[in-house]
Amino acid sequence: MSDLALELTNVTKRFGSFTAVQDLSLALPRGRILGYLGPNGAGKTTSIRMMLGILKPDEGAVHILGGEATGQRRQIGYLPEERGLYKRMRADDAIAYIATLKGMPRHDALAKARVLLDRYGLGKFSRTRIEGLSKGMAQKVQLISAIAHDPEFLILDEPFSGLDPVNQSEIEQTIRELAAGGITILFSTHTMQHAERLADQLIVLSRGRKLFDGNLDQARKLLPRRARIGADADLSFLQASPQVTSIAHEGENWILDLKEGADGRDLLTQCFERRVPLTHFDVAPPSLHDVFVSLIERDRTAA
Amino acid sequence: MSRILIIARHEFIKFVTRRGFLFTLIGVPVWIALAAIVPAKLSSAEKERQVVFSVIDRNGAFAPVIEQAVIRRNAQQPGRFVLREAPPAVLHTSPERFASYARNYLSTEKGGSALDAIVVIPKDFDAAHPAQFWSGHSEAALEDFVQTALTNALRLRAMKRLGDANASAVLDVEAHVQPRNPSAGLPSAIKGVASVSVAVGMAILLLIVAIMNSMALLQGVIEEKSTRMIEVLLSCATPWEIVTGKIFGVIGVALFTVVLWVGSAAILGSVFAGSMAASMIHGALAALSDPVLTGLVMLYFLCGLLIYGAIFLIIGSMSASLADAQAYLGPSMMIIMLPNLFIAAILSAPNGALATAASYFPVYTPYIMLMRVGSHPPAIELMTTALLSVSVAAFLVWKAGQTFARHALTTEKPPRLGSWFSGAKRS
Repeated sequence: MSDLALELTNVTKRFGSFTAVQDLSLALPRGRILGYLGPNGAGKTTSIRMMLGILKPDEGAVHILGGEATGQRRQIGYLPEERGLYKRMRADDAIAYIATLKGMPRHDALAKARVLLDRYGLGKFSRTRIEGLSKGMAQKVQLISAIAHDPEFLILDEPFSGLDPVNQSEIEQTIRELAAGGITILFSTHTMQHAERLADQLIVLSRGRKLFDGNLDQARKLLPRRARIGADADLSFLQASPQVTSIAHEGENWILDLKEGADGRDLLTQCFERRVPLTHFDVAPPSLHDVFVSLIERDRTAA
Repeated sequence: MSRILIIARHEFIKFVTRRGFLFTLIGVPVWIALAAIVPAKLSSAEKERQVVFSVIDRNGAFAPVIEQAVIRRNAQQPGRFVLREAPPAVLHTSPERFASYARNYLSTEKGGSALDAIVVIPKDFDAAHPAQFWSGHSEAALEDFVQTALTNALRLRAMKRLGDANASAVLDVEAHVQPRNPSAGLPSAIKGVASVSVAVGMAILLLIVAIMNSMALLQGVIEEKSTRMIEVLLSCATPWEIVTGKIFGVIGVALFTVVLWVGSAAILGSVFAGSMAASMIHGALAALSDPVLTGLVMLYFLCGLLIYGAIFLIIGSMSASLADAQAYLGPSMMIIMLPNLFIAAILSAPNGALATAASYFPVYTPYIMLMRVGSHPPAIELMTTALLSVSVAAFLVWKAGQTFARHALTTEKPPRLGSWFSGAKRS
């Protein structure tokens, strides 16, 4: 049995003259959570469709759980970005339908659907039509329909899209529980905080190419640490510090990008020596959001 | 259960649980029954309706003749024709102004006092100076009656001129003719008529259920595309499995519909045993006991369903929205409905040149052959058209799968007809 749940090797997919995915390689070990990031049109959906066996790559190879994607359908669960459910179906029937297509006997699928609906607080809505559920409930039903057949690998395309913070937290918690149960998960998102909190591994795509592949710490190292100093006085003298690469004044704060390895203590010392009264001081690593924006902007500039 | 059957089962349940399906299930037979019963009832009511008219006899010799004719007619059907005095205003008006005066009395707005017709017999009534029959609407029965009465009067006058003083007695002489059919009531005759009726009925059912369910199939595919349910399905099954399952589902619904309708007809036939409708239903059921006829009817019916289902599935696959689909539906429906222009000609000569030629137009073959199969076309035509139907159905289902696989996930422009046939991709 392969240790990798997902392996893409030099995968390219073209639609006519447009290259949607270019020479993409990635490897995801079993049991991990992969945050699949990229702006709109980056090639996330196309590559996900190749992972699902819906599209065939023009070049390269896609292996899921050690085999061809089309041969692993029963081991894969999939949640599309929009509500991929029949509006007039009842919640338990909708879940059981997908589970039976994935190979479960109908009786077992229906029983499992009701157990899962109960577990996720939707027991009393099991016979409610999808059109009668709230968006958050429908998203939960869809997530249940992706996991009811006990997949080994779960692909979630924008699972938090359009949900309120409470429902986002619940879905986040569900993803954690599923991962704790041993399921390998790939999820795409435009909300970097979700990726920061959930992902063991991050992939950033842009224009069909991979820009980054690593964990959160590695991502944060792509940008310098940043000091934020609150003061009414002019702090432009800090530009001369050997720890600072750039300085900017934003409202009541001064934002200073630090060189690699700098911890910012020298800045605090200089402010005390000049008796500058400070209202705020912190030094923090860049957020994933900053890293993401920086990577995408650099890529667009290079293009 | 295979994925094809799971999808077929899902499609079947989805269709039969729609409110529209129940409406169609009940509505279509009711509509057909009404279409048969209402015109017959209206015609019957028309024959019994009282008709009021006046005669203005400027010659003076014919009003009594018409009056006598009315008396004789009313002896057979009391109150059918009512003869009234002509209104004085109409009676004395000039020929130039007659139309405007007559219009007032022939108007329905005048209620009970209105006349249905006014007969004007000119002074010099003969072939060169005909009688006038004024009526605001069609009064064919009265017109025939008046014409017959006046014809009889002229003939009597001619006979009297020849010397027969008692000629008027001939008006009481009436010849009765009773229509008879030497095959009427014989089992072979009933079965022959029933064979044609069953096959033609199945052709009409094919068109109704195929279009009804195929439209639902088309809408379903478009809904799946718009909600990205299609992606979930494609992550579970191959495009071929999905397309086949969907078409099987439609066939299931169509057969279920037909079985329900035929079953209901059989039940009604037994409930109203002895009536003409019951004997027709029993004849139709007897015709279905012929294995060759039933086999051919089923073959053409299933091929027709596959062909129409595949056409609508292809349209749904290539359309991003119902508005897109409308652009294809108009021309497609015109093509599908085209044979209906020739139905009368085909039914009057089911083995004629037009019917034979139309049977070999691929998309129409099942429909036309269902129209013809009860009329015993040559065996070679049955074999070749059956082969053609199966081939066309298989080709279109295969193309539906190919089109679905290529276009189900895209919103790109649909292919041109030539490249669609060749399977080439638009770049």
